[in-house]
Amino acid sequence: MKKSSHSLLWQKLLTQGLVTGEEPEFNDDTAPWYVRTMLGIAGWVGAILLLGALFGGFALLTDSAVVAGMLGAGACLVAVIIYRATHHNDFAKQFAFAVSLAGQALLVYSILKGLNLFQDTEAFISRVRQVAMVLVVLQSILFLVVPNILHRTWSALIGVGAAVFLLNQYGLYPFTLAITLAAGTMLWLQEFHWARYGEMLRALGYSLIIVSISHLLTQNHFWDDGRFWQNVFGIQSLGGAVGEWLASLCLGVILIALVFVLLKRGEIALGSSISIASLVLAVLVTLIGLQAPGITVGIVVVLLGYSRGNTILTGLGLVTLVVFISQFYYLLHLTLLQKSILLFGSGLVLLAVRQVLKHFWPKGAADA
Amino acid sequence: MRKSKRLLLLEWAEQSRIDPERLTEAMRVSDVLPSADDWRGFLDTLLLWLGALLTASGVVFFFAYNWDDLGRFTRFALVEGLLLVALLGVWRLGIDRLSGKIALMVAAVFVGVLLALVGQTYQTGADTYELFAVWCVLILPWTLIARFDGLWVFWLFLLNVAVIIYYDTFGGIFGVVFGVEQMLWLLFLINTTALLVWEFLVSRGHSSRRSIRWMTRLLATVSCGLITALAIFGIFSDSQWLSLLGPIIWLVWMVCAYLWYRTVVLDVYVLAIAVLSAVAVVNVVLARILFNGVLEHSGGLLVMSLSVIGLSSFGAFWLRGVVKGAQT
Repeated sequence: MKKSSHSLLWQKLLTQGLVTGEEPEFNDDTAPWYVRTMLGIAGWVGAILLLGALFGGFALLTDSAVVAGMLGAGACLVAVIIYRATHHNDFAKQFAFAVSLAGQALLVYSILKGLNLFQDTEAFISRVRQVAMVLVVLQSILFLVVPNILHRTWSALIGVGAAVFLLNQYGLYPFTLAITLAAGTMLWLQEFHWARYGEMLRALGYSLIIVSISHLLTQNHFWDDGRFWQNVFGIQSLGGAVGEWLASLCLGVILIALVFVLLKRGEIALGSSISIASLVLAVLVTLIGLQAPGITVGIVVVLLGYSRGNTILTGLGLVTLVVFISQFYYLLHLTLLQKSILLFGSGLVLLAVRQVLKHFWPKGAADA
Repeated sequence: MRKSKRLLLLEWAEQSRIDPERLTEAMRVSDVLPSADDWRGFLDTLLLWLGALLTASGVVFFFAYNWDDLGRFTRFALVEGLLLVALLGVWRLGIDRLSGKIALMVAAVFVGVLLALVGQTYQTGADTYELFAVWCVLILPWTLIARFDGLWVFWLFLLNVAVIIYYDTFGGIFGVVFGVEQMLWLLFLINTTALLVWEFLVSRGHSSRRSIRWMTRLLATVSCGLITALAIFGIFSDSQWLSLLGPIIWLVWMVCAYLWYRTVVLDVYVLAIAVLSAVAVVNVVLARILFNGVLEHSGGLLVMSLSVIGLSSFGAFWLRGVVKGAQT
């Protein structure tokens, strides 16, 4: 944003009585998302190379689980200190990120070594759970103490991912997707209310949405007949087939609730034609989503993103829709013929709704 | 502009310069949040895209089901009928409207379904790459008249898939190893030509830069990725002339990208992927030197780690400077 635009924006808010006092200093230090992504990728690669150097150079030391753990914890501490001590130094932040990743990897390695994870197959699952618990605790601490958006997003992704794994392990599958999506939706809807925790909230918000999408695509992936959690970890669906159907319904409830909240915040009367049309559309998508939950999830994320003016979320939602439909081909809970009828029929219904919407809510009419 | 305003307002709220209770109002006043009319337009586009996607997918799934009860003439009649309906949609809606362009894209998908049905029914013995190649040729006239970037992306995707499947089947002229490099060179040529054509059309005013920015960025990413891979291949190649070709073309690409996207039209995204490419290639060269007996492995990995971090930090610092310079 240019300095002149910065001033204009402040003046506009001042005349509306939304701000008071002197204009804040122009300091657009925020890097665009692709620069941060580039830094993140480079940080990853740097961490892997650093880890390789540590393991190679300290091979004797890392042979002991305790020493490896202490080295890992020490590296994480060093990273936190570097982050807190430097503010606008890209090299220091990158280095700290690499050191932190290497430290976390050493910690996990020390736990795996200490638990003899791969030598005792009977207790394998329970030990993986212990690793997941440690990850949740470690990433929660790092999330709170490291004042950097890239690192916070990484910590939130790993922490939420580990928490979802544990929820599945302890019997909440297939409702975990609805839980993470609901949490993400609530967080993003409160984004402005909790603006003073902006960086933390955005990191956690993106992580909840990304983990939700990853969980959706993992549980529906086409290996092992689309029953990844059951076949790999031996977990059973809570409520069996009815439970899976209920879980898809919960996703629809989240969508309907989101539409309801958006209508309320837009001060649109519930009895108006816009509200009725919107809620009917949400119910239709819910019904489609009972057999194709990815469509409901994609629509929720798209609506969340668009309503917040957040193009990243909107883009994530659109990509989810496309990827899910591609994946849908391989799922075996319906035959190809049933899937084709569902998709074709749903497509026609949505196109028809689009035509009907032109009568209930013509373009250019602010009030219907 | 909307995206930057959003982050700025959130930053001011974080600094308590805006009351969080009034932040929504501030966002609305600043045109960050969509108005009722924006929502209407958005829903219209979303329903159109999603409806078309689901409908086309349904048809594709149906023919994948391979329903044996249908005679071959019935199958052909169904597919050709749907193709005709899509084309009627184009005629009714008009090629200038978005809905007309999407109808043409749906028709383009059905052409592929029809070709797959021909191959399946008559067992012509054609190779899979021929399906995609013929598909590309048949829908090219529609792609040209539609002037729709979505259809161009689809067309380029088909062309890329045809090339990849060809090399996967035949392994290139000299065998599998050289086949991969040949394939990458051909893909690089195709996608870079597309990028050059796009930039030429935009500079001649055929479309606004902003509206097709995603298209140029996508092509630039693919082109950069391919030439980076070729440069790395070249660095590890034992052939003298091959070892130079990849890195030289990579260098030319980087210089041209800098000159065009830094000095003529500013696009920081392309500069960012160029920086990432430079970090990758420089470090591959470093690895080649270090692991040829200059340093033992741990020392080499440490040097490379610092190099990756240092170069990417320097690149980010430079990019931030470019962004700041453009904004003042």
